[in-house]
Amino acid sequence: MKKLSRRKALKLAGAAGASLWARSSLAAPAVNKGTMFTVSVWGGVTQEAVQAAIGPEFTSATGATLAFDIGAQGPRYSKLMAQRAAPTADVFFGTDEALVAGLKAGILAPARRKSLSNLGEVEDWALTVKGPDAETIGGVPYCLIAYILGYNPDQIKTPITSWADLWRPEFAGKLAFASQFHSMMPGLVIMAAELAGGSATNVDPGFKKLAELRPAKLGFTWTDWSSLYQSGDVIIATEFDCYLAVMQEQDYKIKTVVPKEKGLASIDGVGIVKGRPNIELAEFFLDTTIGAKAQLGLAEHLYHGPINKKVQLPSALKAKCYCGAEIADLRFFDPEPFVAVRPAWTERLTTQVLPNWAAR
Amino acid sequence: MAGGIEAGDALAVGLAPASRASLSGGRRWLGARAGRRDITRLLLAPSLVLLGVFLGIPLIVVLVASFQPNVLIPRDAAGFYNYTYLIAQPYYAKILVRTIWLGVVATVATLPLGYAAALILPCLRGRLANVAVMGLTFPILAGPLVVILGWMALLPAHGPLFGPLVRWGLIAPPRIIGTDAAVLISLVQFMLPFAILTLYTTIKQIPRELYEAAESLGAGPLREFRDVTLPLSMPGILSTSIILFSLGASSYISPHYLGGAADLTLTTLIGQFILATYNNALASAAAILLLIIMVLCMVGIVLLFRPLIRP
Amino acid sequence: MRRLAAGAGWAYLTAVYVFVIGPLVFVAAESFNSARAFPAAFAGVTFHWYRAILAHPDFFSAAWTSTLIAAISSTVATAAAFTAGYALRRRGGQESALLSTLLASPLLVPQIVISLAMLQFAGLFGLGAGLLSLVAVHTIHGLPFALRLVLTGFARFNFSLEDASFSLGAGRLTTWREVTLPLLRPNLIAGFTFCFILSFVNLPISLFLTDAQTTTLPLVMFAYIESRIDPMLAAVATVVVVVAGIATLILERYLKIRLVE
Repeated sequence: MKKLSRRKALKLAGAAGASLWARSSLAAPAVNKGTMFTVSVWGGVTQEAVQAAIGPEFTSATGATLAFDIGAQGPRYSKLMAQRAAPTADVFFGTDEALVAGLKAGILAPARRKSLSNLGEVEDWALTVKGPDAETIGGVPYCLIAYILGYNPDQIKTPITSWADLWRPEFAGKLAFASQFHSMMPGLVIMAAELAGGSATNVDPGFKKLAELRPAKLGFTWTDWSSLYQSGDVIIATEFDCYLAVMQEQDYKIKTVVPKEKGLASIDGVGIVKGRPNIELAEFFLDTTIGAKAQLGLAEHLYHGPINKKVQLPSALKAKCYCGAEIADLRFFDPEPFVAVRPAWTERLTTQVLPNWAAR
Repeated sequence: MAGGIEAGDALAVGLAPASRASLSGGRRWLGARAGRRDITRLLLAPSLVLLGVFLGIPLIVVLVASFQPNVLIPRDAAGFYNYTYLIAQPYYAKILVRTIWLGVVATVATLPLGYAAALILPCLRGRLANVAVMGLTFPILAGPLVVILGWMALLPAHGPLFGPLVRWGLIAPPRIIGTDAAVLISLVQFMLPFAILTLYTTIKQIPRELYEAAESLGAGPLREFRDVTLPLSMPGILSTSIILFSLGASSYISPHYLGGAADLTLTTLIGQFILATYNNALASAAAILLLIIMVLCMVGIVLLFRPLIRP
Repeated sequence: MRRLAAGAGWAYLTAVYVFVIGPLVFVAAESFNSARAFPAAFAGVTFHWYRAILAHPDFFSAAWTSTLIAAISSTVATAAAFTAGYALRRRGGQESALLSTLLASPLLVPQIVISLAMLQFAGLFGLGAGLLSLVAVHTIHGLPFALRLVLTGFARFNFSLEDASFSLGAGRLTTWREVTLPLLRPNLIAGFTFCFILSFVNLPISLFLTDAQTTTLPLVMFAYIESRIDPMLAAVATVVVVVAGIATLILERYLKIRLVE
């Protein structure tokens, strides 16, 4: 038998080890059965969707069961901040802006790209949360939703085509608009600025233009204004396409339209909470979430647009998830600048625009 | 707060037993009472410890946070700038006034309504009385959230309540949702059971002998009310006012869902600072400001009632 | 004339009840609505929404947690309020002004601020969100309300009765059991009820203190409402009220505890 030279043996061992390691880093990390994996996520149907679309795959592969810390993004983010020394959630669902903010604030940790086997299937426009270096990614996207317009076709005969239609005098007092701390607010400020001759870097005209609106109700979510819509006190609203689809399913008389200046895209994602013991488990959760199977499940439950290239939606579901807003009709924003400007812009909205909205 | 009334009332109550004791030659009781006094003081400990630990220390955390620089007001060191910023904004001053005003109006509206109901309720007897009072608490148990959803359905101009009236031409479409009227209606509906419960408990405890005595002296029902019921229920009215005012001024869901598009209250503003812009410093400063104002309001309520309460 | 006054009285009381309970009746009616939206025009009767609750086990566990928190915090708050009220009224003197303000302080701080501060405070001790923190904030939140009701009772309470009992040789605890507590019973029960209700339905003070294992019913409903409104929420509210009604009946019949005497 030929004796293996030491160098060659080491090389072989190294290669074998590397191949084993490479395989195991993409295989599911196994934990003790019954280990809790805590997901910080919106409650209600979102929680159910995550449980149904991601839960089974995750649990059967790793043995860990999902537990849910539910609430709106604000309280959940604040909890992470207050508990940064000893966080209790493993992963955090939020808007991409929140993920960027969390990374900056040091409460979220980036994920290693090589741990995410499905990353190659993710659409480029969805990868809005960058990692600190090329090896990592800040968080993964889990859906695309579009902020567009919905209106009552029985009450409004002249067609709605543009964001500018919101300022039509006949809609004064009958419009539902985003509240000043809505996630899309910075995008809406820029949209209004551009309508008024300004731009993303010159937003003063935008605040002036917004002050001219006459909303009847400010909505943080669609349920804030839905009963007013039912009674006819609101006839036109700005809202996410997934919620407009729900309203249509619930027999509200509402028609959707994508403004000609483009609808506003919103990417929501998942990030890893810093300071938790099992990073591999969290990365596996992220990987499962961006996988085609989970993406299809999420789309079915929530009418969110999938971010995985391989997902083919049946046409009925596609109509619900996109409400007419194809990618080309949407405008994507980089979340990083929004993190910096949101506090100041919210303050300007509260002190300069809201008083005008309150005056009648 | 009850500060003023405690001093006045305590003075009256404190004097009375002493004078009673001396009247009945009870000087021998004073020795016994001296020993008990220490234990009585000790009885304050549970409440004070609870509050000190679970409210006092967190409040210190809040106070410290209120002096910190934040993303809107970046500074190098701690200072009062958060407070000066909030006070300098006319819109915030307006919000503060509106919050207090909501509390005051809701209290002033609910109090007589609740008092009248609490006067009539004792006419019910036994199980019916129990059912009647318990029934009042059910709408609260259902949760403010769901009830306000109910109001959101009932109050719109073309909703099930006013819609038919408008269609038949009886009234012009009323604008209630989105105004303070809607907020106040839901606040009064929420606060009435508390008012009725408190006042009912008070009124029921007025000894019947006083009414019999008044009747035997020839007093009619109106006189009885003025000279017996009203004065003796004053402590209850004071307690109710304080409860109602704090419920009204701190309400969050009512103004949020039913109020005007842009009419914030201080509670929603503070919520916005914490939940939307994660500005703990400004939220803390606003909370401390609110605390100061609320203390002043409470003291005001108590001083208002001080001359009206007799032992 | 008397008849007219009596009639007006009953009419007024009925109007008050219609106003207070009306929205709840409306909500309960909507819970049987087969329409998919809430609110919506009445489309037909169905029990579908009640069955739908069964598919949401988190509502049940949250309701149970809320009940637990409410029961514990109300008991502690009422007991503390009794001792504090006793101490305040028994003696009198200079301190009471400051003390009364202190004892009402939870009423003066926004609940959302208390919640966040509590989370940060608990974090200092390695605790965090969860049952203990929730019970703590609910207790201090209820304490001023219970104290107000207890003080109302003490205002009419004649302390010479206690003195008489002491003079007959009874200790303080016996006196309380035989004299003070029975006379204050309506106030204590009312105080407990206040605290229980306010705790059960409270949202802001629990906002930051829930975690994956411990959450309250208002929070679960609020989270649900962010993405869906349907008659199921009306069904949940109706179920809560019915359960409360049954609980009251049981308390009254078997434990002889009544809200009113």
